Amino acid sequence: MTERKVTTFQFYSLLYICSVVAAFMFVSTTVIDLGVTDAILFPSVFGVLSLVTIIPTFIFNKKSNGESVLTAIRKRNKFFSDVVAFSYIVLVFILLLRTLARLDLFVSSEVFPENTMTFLIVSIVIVSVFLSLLDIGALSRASTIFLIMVTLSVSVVVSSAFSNIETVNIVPFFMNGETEFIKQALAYSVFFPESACLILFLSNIKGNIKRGYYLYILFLVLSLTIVAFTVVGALGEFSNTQLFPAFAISSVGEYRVLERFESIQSSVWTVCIIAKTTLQIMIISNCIRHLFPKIKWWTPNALTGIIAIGFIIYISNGVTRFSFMSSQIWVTVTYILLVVVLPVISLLSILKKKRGEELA
Amino acid sequence: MLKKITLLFLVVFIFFCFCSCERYGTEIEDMMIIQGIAVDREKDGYEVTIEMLNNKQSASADSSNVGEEMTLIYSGKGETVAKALRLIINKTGNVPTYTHNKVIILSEEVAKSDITKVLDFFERDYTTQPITLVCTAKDVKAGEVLKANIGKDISKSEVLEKILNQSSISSITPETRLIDVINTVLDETACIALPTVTLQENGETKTFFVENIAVFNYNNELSYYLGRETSESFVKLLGELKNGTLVTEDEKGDKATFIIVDGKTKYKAEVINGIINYNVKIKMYCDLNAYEGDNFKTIKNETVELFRKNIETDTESKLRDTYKAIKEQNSFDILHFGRRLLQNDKNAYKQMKNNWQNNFKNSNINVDVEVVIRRIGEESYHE
Repeated sequence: MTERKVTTFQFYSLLYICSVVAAFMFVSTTVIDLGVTDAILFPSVFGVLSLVTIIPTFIFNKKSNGESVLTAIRKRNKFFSDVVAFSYIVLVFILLLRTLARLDLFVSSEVFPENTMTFLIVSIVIVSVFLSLLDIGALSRASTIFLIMVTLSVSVVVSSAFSNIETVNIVPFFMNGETEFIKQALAYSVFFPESACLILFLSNIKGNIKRGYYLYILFLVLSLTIVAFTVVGALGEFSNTQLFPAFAISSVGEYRVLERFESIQSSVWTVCIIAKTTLQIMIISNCIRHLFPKIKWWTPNALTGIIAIGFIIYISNGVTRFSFMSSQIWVTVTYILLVVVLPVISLLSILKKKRGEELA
Repeated sequence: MLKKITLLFLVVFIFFCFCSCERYGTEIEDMMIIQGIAVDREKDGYEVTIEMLNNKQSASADSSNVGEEMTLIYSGKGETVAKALRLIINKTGNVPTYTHNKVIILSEEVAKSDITKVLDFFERDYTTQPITLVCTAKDVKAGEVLKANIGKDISKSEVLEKILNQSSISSITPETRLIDVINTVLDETACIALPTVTLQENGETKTFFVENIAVFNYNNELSYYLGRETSESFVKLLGELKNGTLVTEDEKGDKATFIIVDGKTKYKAEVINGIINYNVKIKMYCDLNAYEGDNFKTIKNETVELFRKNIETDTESKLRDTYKAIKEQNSFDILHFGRRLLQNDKNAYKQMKNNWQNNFKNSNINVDVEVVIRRIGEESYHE
C-alpha cells in the first residue's frame, strides 16, 4: 500500500461515507424487513458485530507493529501474501460491482426513470479510476469535506420527515420472535463490510486507530439508527414497497415551501459513491501491484475500471442480474471472507511465523 | 503534464454527467406537469382524466393576460390506468411528470372494486409521490370533478388539495395520503377510509364539497359511507384530532361555539375473557369562539364549567355511538384498532388477528374525554 499518512479522523471519515452510502442504497429484501420496528435495532446489532469482528485486526496491528496486511505477510511468506492479495482483489471487486449496480439501479429508477444510465455509470468509473491514481491521503481529506455535506443533507432530510412520524407505525419489538430478529439483524449487518479496509491501510494511518474506530462505529450506529427510526416511523410498512426506503423519506418531508429533497439526496449520494468506488478501485489496484510489482503505475487502476465497466454494462440490462449482485448469500459470503476469514488467517500467519522465530 | 490534461478533460467531461433536470433533453414547456388525476371505470378498462398545468400560461410573465386557462384537462382510455395515462401523450405531445400531482380521485365504480389494482401504478412508478392525497368522488364521475367549472384561473386539483388538507386539519376527514392508504392495505386488520368529494351548484359555477367518508371492506372495495357527524367522531377515535369546532348550550339553550386548538388521544387495549376492551382517553384544548347568551357581559364560572361538562358528555356519547355504528355495520376496522391492540399486547394480537372482524365486533370501548377550556375571549371571569 502507498505509504502516505492520513489521520484517523480523515480515514474514518472515508469509511463513514462508504458505510452511510451503503445504508442509503439499502434495498428491502425478502430476508430483511425494513418497515418493522425491529429495524430500529438492526444498527445496534451491526455495532456489536463490528466491535467483535475488528478484534483480529487490532491484534494484527499490534503484532505487526503497524504494518499493513500485505507487507507484514510478505515479509514472512511471499506465496501466502499473494493468495491474500488475490482474495482481496476478487472480494473487493465484487463489492465494487455491487456498489456500481446499486448506483445504476438508483440512477435509472429514481433520478432518470425510464432511461438507461450506463453512460453516467461509465463516467463515474472513469472519474473514480482517475481519483484512485491519487493517494489515500487525497481521498481521505476529500472525505472530511464529504462528511460535512452528508451530515448536513441527512440532517435536513431526516428532520424534515420527523413531523411525519406516526405512532401507529411503531409496534412492539421482536414481533416475529427474537430468533427472527437476530437473523434479520445479521443479514442487515453484512451489507456493511467497510471495516475490512482498515487492515489494508494500517500503515497509512497515524493516530489512535482503536479510539478512532470506536468513535466511527458509534457515530455510524447513531446515524443508521436515526435513519431507520425515521423510515419506520414516517413510512411504516410502505417502506418495504419502495426500492430505496431511505431515499423515500426525502419525498415525504418538507419545510413549508421547501419540499422535495430528493435532488439534495441524489447529488450528495453520487459524490459519496464516487469516494466509495475510488477506495475500492484503489484497494484492488494496490493488491494487483503487490502481485505484479513491475506493472506500470496506472495499469491496475485502468484495468480494474475497464473490467468493472464491462461487468456493469452486462448487469445493467436485466433485473435478475441486479438481484444476483445483492442476493443475501452472496453478500454474506463476501462479508464473512472479508471481515472475518481474511483478517483471522492473516493474523494466524504472522503469529505462527513469530512463534517459529521464537522457537528457533 | 499528462495528469493535468487528464484532469482538465475529466473536469469538462463531468459537466455533461450531472444535470439538475429530472429528465434530460426535456424543456419545461414540453412536460406534462400533472396536477390531478381522476380515474373512472370504463367497459374494458379505465378512463383517466388529468389536469395539467398550461405551461404556456404559467411561463408568461403576466399570466393573467395571455388569454389562456391556467390548467388543461385531457382524458385517455386504456385497459389499465398506466396505459390510459400513457395514451394521453398522444393528445398533448408532452412527457408526463407525476411529481407535482396533488390528488388522485377515484370514482364510485372504481372504488367498488379492489382499489389496490388502480393504486399499484402510483406506488410502483418512480416519479409519483407518496404524499399525494387520495379521495373518492360521490354522485359524480371522477373525471367530472376535474372538469367542473369552479371559476377562472384556478387549478382544480390545487383547490381540492387545500380542501382535503383543511378538512383533515379541522378533523372532519382523516388525512389520506397514498402512503396511508398503502399502509392500511398492508395492515392485516385495518380497512381503508377515504374522504369523498361531491359537486355542489354555486350559481353558474360549482364548488367542491368534502364531508363524507367512504368505508372500504377487507377486499379494499367501497362498502358504505359515513355521514358528517359520524365522520368527525371517527377522526377523533382514529387519533387524528387536530383542530375543529364544537357547539354546546347553556341552561337556557343559548349556544356556545368552541374551537379545538389541540387534541391528544391515548389508547389502552386489554383482553379480558377473550373480549378486547379499549380505553380511549381524549384530551381537548378548546377556546370559546362565540356565545349567544352573555349579552357581551362577563361569563360566569359556572357557565364555563357547564360548557366543559356538556362538551365532555356530548363528545363521549358521540364517540361511543360512532364506535357502535362502525362495529355493527360489517365491522370493518377503519379505526386501526387492530394496530392499537398490537401496540398494547402483541401476543393477544397474534391470537386474534386471524378472526379480526369478529373480534372487533365483540370488542368494547370506554371513552374518557377531558376538556380544557384554554381561552374564553376575556381576561378573567367571575368566581
